[in-house]
Amino acid sequence: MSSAVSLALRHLVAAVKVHQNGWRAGLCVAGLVAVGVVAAQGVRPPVDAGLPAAVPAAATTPPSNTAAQASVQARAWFVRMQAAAAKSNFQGSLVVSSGGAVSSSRVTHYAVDGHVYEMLEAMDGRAHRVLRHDDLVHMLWPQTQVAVIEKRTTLGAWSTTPQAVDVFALENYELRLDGVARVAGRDAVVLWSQPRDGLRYAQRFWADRETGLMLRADVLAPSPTPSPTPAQADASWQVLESTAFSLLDQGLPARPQAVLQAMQPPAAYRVVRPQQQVTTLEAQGFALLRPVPGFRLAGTVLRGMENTGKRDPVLHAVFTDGLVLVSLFVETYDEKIHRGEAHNQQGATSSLSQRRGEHWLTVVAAAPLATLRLFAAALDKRSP
Amino acid sequence: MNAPPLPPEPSLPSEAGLQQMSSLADGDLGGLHDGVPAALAAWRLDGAARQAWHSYHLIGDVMRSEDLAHTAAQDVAFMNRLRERLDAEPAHRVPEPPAAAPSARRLMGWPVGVALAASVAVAAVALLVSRAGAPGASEGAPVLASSGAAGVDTQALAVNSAGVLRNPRLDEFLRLHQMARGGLPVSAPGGTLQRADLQMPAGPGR
Repeated sequence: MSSAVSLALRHLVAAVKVHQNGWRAGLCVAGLVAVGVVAAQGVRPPVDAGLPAAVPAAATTPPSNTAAQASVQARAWFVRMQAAAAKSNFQGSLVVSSGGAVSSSRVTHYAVDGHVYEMLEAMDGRAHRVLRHDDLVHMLWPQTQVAVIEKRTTLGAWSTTPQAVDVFALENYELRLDGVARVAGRDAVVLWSQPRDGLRYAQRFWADRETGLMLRADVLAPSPTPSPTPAQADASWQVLESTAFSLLDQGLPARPQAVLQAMQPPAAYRVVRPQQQVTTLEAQGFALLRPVPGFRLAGTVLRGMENTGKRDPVLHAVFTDGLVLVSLFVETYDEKIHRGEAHNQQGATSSLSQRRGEHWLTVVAAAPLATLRLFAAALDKRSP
Repeated sequence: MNAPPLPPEPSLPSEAGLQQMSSLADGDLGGLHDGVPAALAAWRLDGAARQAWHSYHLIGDVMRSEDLAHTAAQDVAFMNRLRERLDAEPAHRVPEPPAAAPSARRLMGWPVGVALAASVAVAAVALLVSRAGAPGASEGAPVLASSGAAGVDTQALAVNSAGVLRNPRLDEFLRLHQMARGGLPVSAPGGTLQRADLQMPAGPGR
């Protein structure tokens, strides 16, 4: 290939020298440019094995095999995304667009010797920073001079391990590759997770083709007006929320000390340490009598609500379907602060609050309202 | 048809006047361009015609209920009181006619469109944030001790000076929900550090 290119180049250069002016020279220059472009294509890295096989060779493979292959490749990319998030060093600007509102954060992440250091700084709205060193999380609010220090329990962390996508996720979503794109100046592979039922949203992820880091994630719901033809299938989904890097530096040297120093709250700050205690539904007197299809209980924590001034603990039950988390908060009903059922939605995340007997339930999830209602009805007081 | 004899009045109503009032009450005068203006003028100017008008309606009312028997003077007093009340009401702004002046035209153009778009966006966000749950939320019988009827009114949300809907408890729930995902959004797709205090979009380009 390269010898043919160099031969063509030599002929073209010679031709330009001969026809120094006039249309023939112009033609030869154009030919040189064309050859240059073709040569440049040739020296690019070979197409990643992760991309779906679009070559006519598919004619020799039965369609089901190609689909299965694409699914396997998609799963491999998901695993790669999770690994990259845990192990990379990066810094960038993350922009969240949800329901017409946009917010931006500065994000820093270092992984050193098996430890993780993270910093997220809100660039609009109330100024605050979230800093993390492994499981220790500090949240600092400069305007009110408050620091919240707690240990995080990642009950609903994305359960895909570095080795394999959670099988449970595969039961609830069909994962497939969805083309290539460019995000934050990086080439990316697009992945699509198609829900298998109407209780969850679809998601689309863009993974850096070189490093696997997730560059963008969209949450999508079926459009109210279905598209008339399959060709317009893309128009049948509406984006509820989009989280994307606008600027990103990867592979930078880790500076964990910067994060550790920023974590220390200044002396003038009031420090709040919410209490939490891992527990079980049974221990708190509840039973899951009506589980929601496709979701399993990931864990339960009893949380002190010191941040809000009312100190009675709240039961926080976390459910997962492999990709998406649902939180169910249960507290004692108090007519002074709990008034009327309410449903809020900001972008993809909805919350539903309602009373059930002597308890007040709040469901929070990036899921359709119907799913939230099912969760509000899922728990019962355990019969003694 | 002629009404039965009426209580004594300064002047007796003329035959024509009675006929006019009778036809007006029966709806026989046709449209605005027929005898109605004349009949109305008669009512306004002629006390006897007014008396006849009052009588016709009084008969109908008393047939329905004896409580409705009252004098014509009460009607006049009512009209006067109504007129006073209407005058006392604050004047509503009369919509200005579309300005054709060149100075007004300078206001048109892209800033107006942008402001419209921004206000629509603000309204949309406000609607999204404050939407109340629909009734009929009880799927299946609640087994927990008798559920109090869930009201449909929106939960009281405090509005801070930035014009943003806030509920500290919900904020905290959202934060705990996001933290349970496992930290930064990049490690868990679909979950971000969302805050209930996202500012309303204030400018163009949204």
